[in-house]
Amino acid sequence: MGEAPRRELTSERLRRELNFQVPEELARRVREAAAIRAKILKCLEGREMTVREIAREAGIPESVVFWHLMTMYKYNLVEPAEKTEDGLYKYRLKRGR
Amino acid sequence: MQKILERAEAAGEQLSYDAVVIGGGIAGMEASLSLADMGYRVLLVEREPTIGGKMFLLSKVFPTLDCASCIATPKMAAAARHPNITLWTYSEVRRVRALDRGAFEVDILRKPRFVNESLCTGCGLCEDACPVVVPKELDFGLRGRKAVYIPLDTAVPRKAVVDIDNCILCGQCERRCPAGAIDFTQKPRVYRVRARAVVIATGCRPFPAELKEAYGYGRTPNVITALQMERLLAPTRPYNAVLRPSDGREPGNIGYVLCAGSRDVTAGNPRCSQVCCMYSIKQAQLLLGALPLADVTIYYMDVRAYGKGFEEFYQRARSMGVKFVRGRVARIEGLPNGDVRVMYEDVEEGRLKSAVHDLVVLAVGLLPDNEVLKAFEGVTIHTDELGFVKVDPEDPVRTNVEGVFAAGCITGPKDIPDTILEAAAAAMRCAAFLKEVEARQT
Amino acid sequence: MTGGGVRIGVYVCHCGGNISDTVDVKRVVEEVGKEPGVVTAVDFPFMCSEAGQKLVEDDVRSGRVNAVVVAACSPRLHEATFRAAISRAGGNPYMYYHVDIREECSWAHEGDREGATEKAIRHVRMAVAYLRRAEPLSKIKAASERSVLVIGGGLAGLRAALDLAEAGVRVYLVERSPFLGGNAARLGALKVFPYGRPAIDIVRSLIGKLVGRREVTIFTNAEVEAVSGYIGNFDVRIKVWPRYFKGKCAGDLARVCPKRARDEFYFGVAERTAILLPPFEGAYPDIPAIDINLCDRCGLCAKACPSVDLSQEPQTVSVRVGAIIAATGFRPYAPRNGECGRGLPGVITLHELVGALNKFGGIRVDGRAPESAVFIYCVGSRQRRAGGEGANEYCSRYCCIAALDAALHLRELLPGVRIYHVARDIRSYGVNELLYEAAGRLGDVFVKYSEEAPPRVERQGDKLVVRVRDVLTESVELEIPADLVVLVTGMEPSDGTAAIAERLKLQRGPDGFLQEVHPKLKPVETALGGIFIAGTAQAPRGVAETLASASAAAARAASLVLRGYVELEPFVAYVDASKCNACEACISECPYGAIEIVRAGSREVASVNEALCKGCGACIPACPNSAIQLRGLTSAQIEDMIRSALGHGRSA
Repeated sequence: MGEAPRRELTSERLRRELNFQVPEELARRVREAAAIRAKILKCLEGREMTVREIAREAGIPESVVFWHLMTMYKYNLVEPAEKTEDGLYKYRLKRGR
Repeated sequence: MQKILERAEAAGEQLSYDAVVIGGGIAGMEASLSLADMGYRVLLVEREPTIGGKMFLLSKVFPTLDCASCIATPKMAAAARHPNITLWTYSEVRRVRALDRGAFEVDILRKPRFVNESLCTGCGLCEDACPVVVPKELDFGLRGRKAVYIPLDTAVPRKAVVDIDNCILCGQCERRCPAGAIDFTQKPRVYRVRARAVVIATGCRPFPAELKEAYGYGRTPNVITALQMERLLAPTRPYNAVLRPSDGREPGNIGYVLCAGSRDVTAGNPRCSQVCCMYSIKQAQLLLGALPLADVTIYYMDVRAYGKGFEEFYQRARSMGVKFVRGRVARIEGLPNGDVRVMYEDVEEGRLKSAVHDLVVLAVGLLPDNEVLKAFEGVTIHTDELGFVKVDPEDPVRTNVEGVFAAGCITGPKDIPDTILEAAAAAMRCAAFLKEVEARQT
Repeated sequence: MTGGGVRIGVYVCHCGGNISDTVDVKRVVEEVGKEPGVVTAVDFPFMCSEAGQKLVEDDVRSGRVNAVVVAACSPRLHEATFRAAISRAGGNPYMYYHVDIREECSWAHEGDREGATEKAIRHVRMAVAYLRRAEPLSKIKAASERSVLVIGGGLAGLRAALDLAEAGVRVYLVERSPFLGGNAARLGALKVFPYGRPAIDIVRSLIGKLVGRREVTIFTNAEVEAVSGYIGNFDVRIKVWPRYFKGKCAGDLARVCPKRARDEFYFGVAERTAILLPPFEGAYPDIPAIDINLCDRCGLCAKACPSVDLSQEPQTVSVRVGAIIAATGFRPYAPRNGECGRGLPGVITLHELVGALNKFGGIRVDGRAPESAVFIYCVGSRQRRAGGEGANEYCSRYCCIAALDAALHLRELLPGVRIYHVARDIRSYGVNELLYEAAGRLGDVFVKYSEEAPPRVERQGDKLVVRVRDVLTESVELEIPADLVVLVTGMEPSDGTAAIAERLKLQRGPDGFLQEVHPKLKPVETALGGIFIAGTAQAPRGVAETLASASAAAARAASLVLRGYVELEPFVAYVDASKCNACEACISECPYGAIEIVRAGSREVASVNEALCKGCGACIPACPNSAIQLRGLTSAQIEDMIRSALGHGRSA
């Protein structure tokens, strides 16, 4: 890879042809989601936490934390650890990543 | 997509098939396979990036409790590789014209995946690279997916697709893809196809639960639909276990509300949706397996366990300890701790009661997914007042238009065994029609 | 042929968790990877998915692997799937062993991870041992007849026969009774909801299209007496009973006959003579028949009509077909005397009500129109506890809807009638809910009883009384006076269904109906190749569902026979002629008559007809010289498998 670095990417070409601007709404959503994910990942650095604990520490609603956590679980960034007594799982950063 | 679609090109080729089957769910796949096995050449058109319809999203299926994937995925694979079947996914039927008896002209838009299917290996690295997260449709929003994504591990084709409406054209996926499969130069193409017959198998869509306002769906995170529960129980599930969406806690006391958007004039659907009793009974059994300590309560009016082996399946749920309460649920409200209060009329005791559950599942009914009927030009496919395609009582897969057949949930809600029978029946009737057309032409 | 030639690939499926939640698939892979002959062992979430099959295909295509083990679900589900995958990749589909580690391991030993894993490992080792001695085989190809036998001339049989004929397939339709039409014809003028078309119209239309087609031969008053052969090539013997009529008859011949019996066409509510006239306009054939069991050959009819011929004899017809569809239908449940008041005057079954509405255009009790009627549901269905021995646990599906439909008809005829429905659940599924809604709107009263407290029917003076605890009103005992009580009776397999199951060795479910192989994968197939089932012989169902299942069965039969040939599995017996001394021990063991003695040069030896052999293996232990073996499962393979299961596999 990287042998022909100067060739235009097809995404760049389409961007140019359409004179594409990222819609403001979409850009805002991407930024927000990135911020939430960064906060969650930071919380989990070096420890295991439940959704409730992350929510409290990061100041994000539990349902939002859980949604992003499960998305990151799908993309192999986090994984469940043990289950606590009140039926909540602890989560941690995926090992080996 | 709108801007992209403006760049659509007309394809030069003139393709022709014996039949165009619209819809790649279990009905469309079965109809295509049956026709193909009888020697007819079929074009199977699916709107989504993968075939499989609703069935391949499900957990296990009643009354045998086979895993749905075990039945659906091999059929998907078979449909994709049958020599008599041409499969077009991510394609939309734009126009159907009846030219003559046994002669249809079908315009089909093939949307660009922006992924070269023959190069993509389905490795998923593009997904990791993509910075955009949106709710995943195939998990009914329970978690997110990227703007470039592989629909599911069991998808056919198991290839990435770019959701161009949510793509910011940042190029991350293109840089990451080791196969060089990302290709934003792809353009939409419109094909004009000749076919001698058409089979409509576009299936159903779930009743939009938010329309039943008193049940709080959309406002109360722990009120979910039965399709969402299917995903939670499926092998390709979104979470690591059955967990409730508000806080990821394992539920211990689950309530099922039957007839959510069915048998309900105020919700615009006076009819019964035919499958909700059984899928709820099935989910209850699966939940007792997944969460051995959980209580499951089903609020019902009549339990419609009518098919082969269904009554026995229902009795099994009762003997496993699923609680059945004869009552119509009036209102559902969320409590501050995420729990859910269900207010219902207990008809056996004749009074209003309430119960608190930590997760409530709405057994939503089925409505027709009949958008494609608008594409018919010059002829009208007759539907009933809910939009289900009307069929001939003597030939329950034949529509009012000669040469146009229908099968599966598009003619009325039905379970998988009945759908499969109907799809094979549609293939048979279609084959008989094709034979007759042939005989007249020679 | 140990080592060298065989390069085995082992693929272990997670089944998404169905297997891997209990069986440690990684350990299975690790353990069996050490077996001699195994060149690759991997695990995968869904082997049956496109990506999973591709794993196998790629390894076979590259030549890395020439024998395959997939450890997954039951072979009944996906053995064929992987054999096909190997073929596509250019390999031999019989260099394959499908190991069931789901039903037999993870499901059977849920909670015992260690035990289930150990069992899975042993099962896979056995498969590896099998493949070390396996040889490439090929399917046996046999020509197939391009014709189908349809048994049963009711709604399902008519639909299937017409479908096949229209698709260009030769059809033989055999009906036991003297006329086509079955139970659907007896529904008569009752309209099929929601389309408002009388059932008899549908039957008449199908008969009209079928009769006279050159592809179709119809035998009425006839029975399938014997079936032999195999998929693609069945020999069928049909017994045709005499009608004792040479042609049509003018005049009212039935009046001449002095004999009387209940008329089955009207579910017994009317009488007929021994002369069976075509029961409806458009019936086929339009020639009468004599019920010879009732007839005492008095000869009065013969004097009145020259068409009568009492000298006719039964005939036997033989046909060859490629496939068979059993569409032998249902019979209405017959309540025992005393069951829900059966036997009391004024208590009739739903079918009898239908018969009366069709025959007399209405219903009368004691010569008067009833002022009140009570429908009692689930008579002969859902009898889990009440019925005990021989109870029908299943729901009969059609009856709630048929009862609501009949009640609406009754109300049309007798606008002032009071109608009560005493039911457990009203199962008016789908669009049929509109019937339930209409009945309620028109004033019908619905009472629900629980299984534990079935309603009781008694006679009080000149009235019937139904006593029932209504769960909808705090289980208060209601006393409903009624002129008419209708027992909503379910479906049972017909006598013809029972007889054909016996004759063709078809499997029946616990409910007595004919059993399909799998409700979703093979919904109209039976365990016997080439024999399909349709309609209410398979399960209780309504008109539209019956028609769909019939067309589905026709589709499967058509794709089978239109190909013109069938491929049979190669697992048949073969004889090593050098060892055989024609002692005939194997011949007497073979249940299929597949072995015969032939001349081979100067000697006589046993020889196996591969198309007839079912590979049962009964002949093998009978042979004193071990001259007869099963292809694809030799004694040596079995011995190796046993040895490896017992833990000695690696030294073999």
